[in-house]
Amino acid sequence: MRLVLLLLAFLLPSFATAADAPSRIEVYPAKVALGSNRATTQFVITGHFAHGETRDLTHNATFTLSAPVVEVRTGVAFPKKDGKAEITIVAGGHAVKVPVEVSGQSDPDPMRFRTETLAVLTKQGCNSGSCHGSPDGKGGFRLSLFGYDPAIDAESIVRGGLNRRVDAFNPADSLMLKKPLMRVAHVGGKRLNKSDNGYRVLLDWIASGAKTDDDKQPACVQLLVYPGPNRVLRAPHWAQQLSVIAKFADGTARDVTSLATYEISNKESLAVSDEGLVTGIKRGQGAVSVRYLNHLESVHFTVTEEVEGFVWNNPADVNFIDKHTHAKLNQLRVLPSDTCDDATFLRRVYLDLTGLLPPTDKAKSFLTDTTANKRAKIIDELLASEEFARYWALRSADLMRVNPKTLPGGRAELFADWLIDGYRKNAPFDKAVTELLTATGDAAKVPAANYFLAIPNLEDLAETTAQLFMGSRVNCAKCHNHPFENWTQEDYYRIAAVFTRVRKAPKGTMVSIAATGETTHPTSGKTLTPFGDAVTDPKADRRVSFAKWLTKPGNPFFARVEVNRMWFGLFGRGIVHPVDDFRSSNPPAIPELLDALATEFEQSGFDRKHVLRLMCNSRTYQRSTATNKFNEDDDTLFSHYPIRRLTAEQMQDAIGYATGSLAPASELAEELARAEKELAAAPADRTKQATVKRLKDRATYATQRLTPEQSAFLKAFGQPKRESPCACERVDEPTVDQALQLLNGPLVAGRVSSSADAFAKLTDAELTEWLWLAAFSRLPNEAERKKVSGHFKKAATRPDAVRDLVWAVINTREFLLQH
Amino acid sequence: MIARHELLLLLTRIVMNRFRLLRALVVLCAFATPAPACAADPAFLSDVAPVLVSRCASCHNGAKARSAYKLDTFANLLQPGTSDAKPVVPGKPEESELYRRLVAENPKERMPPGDDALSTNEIAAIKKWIAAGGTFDGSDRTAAIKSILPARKHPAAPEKYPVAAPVFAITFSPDGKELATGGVNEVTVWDAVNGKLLRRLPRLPTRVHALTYTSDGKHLIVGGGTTGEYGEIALVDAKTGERVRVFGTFDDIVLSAAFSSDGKLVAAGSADRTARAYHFADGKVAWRASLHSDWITGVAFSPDGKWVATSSKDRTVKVLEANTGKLFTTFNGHRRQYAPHVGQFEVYAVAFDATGTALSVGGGAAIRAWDPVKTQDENGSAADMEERFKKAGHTRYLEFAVGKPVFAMALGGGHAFSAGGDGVLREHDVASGKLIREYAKHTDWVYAVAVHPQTGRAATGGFDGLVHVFDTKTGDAVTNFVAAPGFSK
Repeated sequence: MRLVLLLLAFLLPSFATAADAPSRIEVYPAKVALGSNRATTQFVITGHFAHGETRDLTHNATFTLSAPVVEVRTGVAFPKKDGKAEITIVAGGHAVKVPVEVSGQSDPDPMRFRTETLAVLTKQGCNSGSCHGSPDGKGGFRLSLFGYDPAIDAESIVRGGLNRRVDAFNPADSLMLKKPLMRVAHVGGKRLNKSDNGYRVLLDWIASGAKTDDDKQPACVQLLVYPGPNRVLRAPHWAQQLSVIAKFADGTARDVTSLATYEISNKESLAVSDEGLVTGIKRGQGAVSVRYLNHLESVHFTVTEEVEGFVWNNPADVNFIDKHTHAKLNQLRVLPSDTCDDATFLRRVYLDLTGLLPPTDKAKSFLTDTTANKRAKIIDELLASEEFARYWALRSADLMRVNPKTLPGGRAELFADWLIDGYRKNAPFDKAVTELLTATGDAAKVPAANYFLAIPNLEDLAETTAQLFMGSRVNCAKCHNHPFENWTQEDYYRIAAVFTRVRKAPKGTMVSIAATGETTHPTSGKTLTPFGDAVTDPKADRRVSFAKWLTKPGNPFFARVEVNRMWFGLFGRGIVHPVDDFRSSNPPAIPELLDALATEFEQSGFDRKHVLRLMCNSRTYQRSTATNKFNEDDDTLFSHYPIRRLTAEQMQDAIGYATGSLAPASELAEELARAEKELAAAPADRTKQATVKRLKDRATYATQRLTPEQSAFLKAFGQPKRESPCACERVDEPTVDQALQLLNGPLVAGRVSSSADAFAKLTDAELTEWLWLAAFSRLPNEAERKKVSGHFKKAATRPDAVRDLVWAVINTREFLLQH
Repeated sequence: MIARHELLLLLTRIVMNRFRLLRALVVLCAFATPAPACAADPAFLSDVAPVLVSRCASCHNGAKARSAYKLDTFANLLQPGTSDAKPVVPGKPEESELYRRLVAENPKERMPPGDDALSTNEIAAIKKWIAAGGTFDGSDRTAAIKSILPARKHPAAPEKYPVAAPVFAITFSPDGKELATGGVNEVTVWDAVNGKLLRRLPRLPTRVHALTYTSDGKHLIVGGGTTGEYGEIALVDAKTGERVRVFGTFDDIVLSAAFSSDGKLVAAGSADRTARAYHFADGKVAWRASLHSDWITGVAFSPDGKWVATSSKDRTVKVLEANTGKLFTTFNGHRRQYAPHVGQFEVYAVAFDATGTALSVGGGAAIRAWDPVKTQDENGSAADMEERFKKAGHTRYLEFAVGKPVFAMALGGGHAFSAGGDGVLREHDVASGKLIREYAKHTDWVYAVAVHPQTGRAATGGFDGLVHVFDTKTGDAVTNFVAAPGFSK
């Protein structure tokens, strides 16, 4: 990697040219103090250029010393002898002086097991989950995952295996070095080179006696990564040196740039060397995660480059959503697609907001409507509809495991209805979640209390709550600190401590709060304070403080997670994706957009409809799916609308409507009123009672029902079983079963077969137009009309012709896809 | 009988000396380049093969050999890999890929990749070997080169130990007056009563894990090696340390060795998962057994000479026929389902008492005492095996309370002495199963235990290099010392 950079440096235009010179340079760190013969300091020299552009000049700088107390190689200061001096750093025509102090060079400083040896084992991959860090180890050698338990590692490496791994007399012959060097056969392959810093660390540690008794040494409490939290790399300046400094409990700090482990979230766009030199590879963005012991920090990089022939087309912004999207697209030289046509928009917004296809009369009038703000009007109309509330509540209910199996006796329906009511009345989301998380009482009467009954145990409650409202998968932290994020085991049990006093009546439906009950750390045994705001009254319901902390504006998770879920509902992909995997190493595609949406959500009083309205009205949402030369590779930045298959429920209802067997749900109110009137006349009539109930529950609509229908068709298309809080439980992978269901599965076959009767009264031309409007929200074009009329002429009987046509229509991609 | 035995040893010694002379010549020649016809050109087995094994074979080996070039056997070594370039062109090193890749200037071509080049002496030896015709001085071209390597020459032991070395092996001399312990490239012999260093037996394997005296006390069987790459079992003069005979070499360190009661067989178990037996008289291999799936940690002969038991990290003990090495039975009593303690335990030591009862120990808070024949009778794969085991009652548990594994056990006077990770030496009466005594705690893990019933002494050696000698009648300490010559704290 260094070599590449050096080559790059030669190719760069000279900085002497005034037009390309930085206005100033910045040196990090501002002073150097090396207190041990092993201490080093990585410099990062940043040039500030016009338009706020920054470039890394670390490897183009010269370092001159007033006294030879250190030596600077590849931007790293190595100590030489005790003393003070000044380093003059020159880059881009600017000079900066940095004081340097070297001390303790003759004092012994034995290599430390916990802060150095273990860091190297992580860096070389020895203790990863697929190697010696797996629960049973590998090849008889077991290490703790990423070194979370130094005691296990100390025993395994030194005394374990009959001491065969370290050799104090011939340190270089230690098996622990010979194996990763492949001097002897190693199933894990070559993991170490003699030129690696890690080799020196391990060798020195063994040579100094392989001591593991540094458990009283101060622990690392913080990791400082510079630069951060994000950087733009503009071609040809695609390199950025990182500096990583660990802060310890005793206030000391140590440069650990060469000990830290670096990982890339998007390997197509970025690479990183073992010494923390980040290099751009291709236009795009990604995170570099820096791990040192149990700490993890990420820096987000955007890699840009001029693209030949690219001209920004300056699309107008409808609202701030477009502003942020366009800025990101322009920065990454991606050209957004055009706005989609009315038919596409109408079908798209109906499916996304209500789960249903637009009724044909709606579609026809919308297409001919010439009002300028007709799209905004339809969005308002849909957001106000009962169908919207039911469809969006279904999505929430999926994640809260609203399931008659776990919530019998009508409680699933009660809970589902409460969720629907939240959307119907547009309940402020902070209030709704507070009500949910603090619910007590008889769950047969208090709908929200069912949240606690749908989740089987305390750990699951902690995990589910974190996943739903903090977008975080904390379950790894149950057994050890989370390997990919900053969740610690202590955090996990502190979240559990919030709910530890929730009591459920055995076999009953009562949810109550006990006055006592604590959660302790599984290894230290320490009693943990609940996560969130401090609880002052020891007897108070801890959930109240937690909910207050969670829903307070400015909470790092709450608003961002929910707006991201809404975005996911409209685009099929989150700004952070997957939607419940918020972590620093999985950055948002457009961070400014996510932040702005979260702020808007908070400032609107957590008004979900308001945010959805903004999203639906944005140009970003209304883009065509058709790509151009400059955005065909993009599938993360929303430069074109993402095509996706209809969900299981959407598909079932769409097939019902297009085959003429399911009336538009908007007509239900009328039908219900009629049925209720009839029932009022004969209140004891069982059939009439059932009809009213069916209409009330909207049982014939998969997207509108209170609780999910269980059918082979829905299952085939990925309807979740509602057993986990993960949005991933709804699968969208194509399967053979799906193809067969669409060919002649019972649902398709039955509905296609009955369509002949349903459409018997329509003429060929009327039927064609109706079918096109129903299935595609558009009118058939000339070629299509001709083809259909030819088909009717050729057919033996009309019912067969109708069935074939209907079947063909619902098997088109235009019908099966959301576009 | 004795006279003949002595004569044999003498003969061997003469042959060994000759061999050493030859080697010295080879080394001299290597330095004397480019002198042409040297008296002895480098030989494949002694000068080329060891380098190939230690620097090349870890990648060019087996099904995933890099560039499909294998040098696991001499026959394969001559076959080109994917490059089709001939590895060895006799007489022409410059045209031989094997040599060219060692000296290539392009770092992408030079072997081993991303690692130090071979030493100039090593490269010179390979060059000269090819120049001289690249011939094979072994008998079987298809044998694994690793297995036909000559025994290694060992470096001198450190004059003064900078740190204490773990004691992996300890044994009393037949008269009980001396204690031999495994050191670094040596065996050190100490006065068993006052802990004074008596002798150093140098130029032995890096680590010594097995030590057993011949019954006359004149020789020692020394087993050891270098972890992960080499093991050997040798007969060593107990006074001078001279290796009288190397019985055999292994792919990993030798962890245990034992004599049959008639002294005719020597058995060794290695971390390379093989157990082997040799005829003491001529050093020939009696048998080889590759029955375990992990290190063999202990070997023991039954007093009637019928069985050899091998204990393993694979959680089993195997009982083999002593004369053939054929499997007689497998003892599974260290697995949870057959024992009162939960877990699956690696077995680190096995021994037979005078009555023929086998004792084995590892984890699981008990020494298992069992009868090989009854075990075999109860063996099988039937589902009710566990039930039958319980009913048969052929396994007795000599219990102790310790969570850490036990690494060593020695039998004497009807008692079993065992110690391990908790540093406590425990003495059980084998017949009654009762714990007789726990000796004063060792400061670190104990890896080695010895007992001498006639003098009533027991000794332990541990990770920290400390040796403790105890009086088994009183339980008192006799002496303790750090078995590290020249070491001072």
